[in-house]
Amino acid sequence: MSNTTLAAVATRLSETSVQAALDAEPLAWPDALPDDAWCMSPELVSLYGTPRWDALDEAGRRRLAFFECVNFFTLNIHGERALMEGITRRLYARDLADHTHYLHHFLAEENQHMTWFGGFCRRYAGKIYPDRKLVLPREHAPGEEDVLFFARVLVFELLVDTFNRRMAKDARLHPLVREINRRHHEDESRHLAFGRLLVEDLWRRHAPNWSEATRAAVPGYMAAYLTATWREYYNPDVYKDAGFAEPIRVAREVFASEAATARRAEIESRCVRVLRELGLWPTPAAGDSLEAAS
Amino acid sequence: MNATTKTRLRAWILEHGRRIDAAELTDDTPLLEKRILSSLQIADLLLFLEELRGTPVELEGLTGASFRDLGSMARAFLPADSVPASEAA
Repeated sequence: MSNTTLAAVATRLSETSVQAALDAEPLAWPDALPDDAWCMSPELVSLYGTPRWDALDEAGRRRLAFFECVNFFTLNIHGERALMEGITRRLYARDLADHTHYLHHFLAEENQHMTWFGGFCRRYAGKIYPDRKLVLPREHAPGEEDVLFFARVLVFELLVDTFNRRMAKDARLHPLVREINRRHHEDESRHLAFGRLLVEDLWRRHAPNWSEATRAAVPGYMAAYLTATWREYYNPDVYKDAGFAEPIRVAREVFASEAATARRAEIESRCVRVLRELGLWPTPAAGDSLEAAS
Repeated sequence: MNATTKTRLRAWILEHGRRIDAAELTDDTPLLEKRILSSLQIADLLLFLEELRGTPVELEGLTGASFRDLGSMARAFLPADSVPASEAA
């Protein structure tokens, strides 16, 4: 894949973004959501398939699904805020200068998404959940920070997009929830197409200039990042709001449960496949460690 | 909170951190500088700290300085009676 190909894709995606913005209708926001509305597909709720889920009555499941939806939208807000900060810092950077026109669209769309997610959380939950992530500064090889940044973005968006695609099609969900998921998926499919090509381009250009140790650490780091991202889907604040005692214990137990582990493996399979194709996923033969590299 | 709280925090670092033997981990071992702890572990560590102290951590304005070493974490997040008076300044 050449830099010229990436530039051509960025130009095409820019044109699609312009048209999508022209076609977009404002979202219809009801004053309140009905008590019996499903806001998250039951099969995507973190507790689904565990004894704790089985013990809930229908109203309890819908209530938990509502707070899981608020958490999902919250994760999108925090993720997109970090993404926007990172992209803004890189606008017109030499390495990305040819794609700046698309990065402007990318930023505009991410900002729009945050208004949807934030609008939902503030209107119907009166809050978003706090962000427990903290980025600690460290030294990087030339280009390494960009590779890791855009690879993290790719992982985050691939996971989110799987949820979006499934919930956009789920007729049990409230129409507003379906529509937010549908619109987000539509925009993210462009971001994913660009992001994958960009990561591939940056990795191929920069990684050969790094030390063997720096290069070898990347797949392990990406695996650790994926696990860390998943942990945020098991938010004790959600379990507390849904009425569970000992919410941190619930989070830990559910994350380790067989049902949740199997569901994560199924949902992340697309993400793992993409990372493997890019050479950014640990291979046992290479002796990569799944320990965090950063 | 009592002395065992800090001991449990120390045990968490030994279990989840990298490249350190128990004998090497002191209150002022630089955990971030030596990359014993990483950014990717902070969210999990914060949950463990919240469990230890029994109350949420105020997240806004939090910086890496609070995670620099075991002593810094104990002073920033654990109740004062878990930290010897000589360290609590």
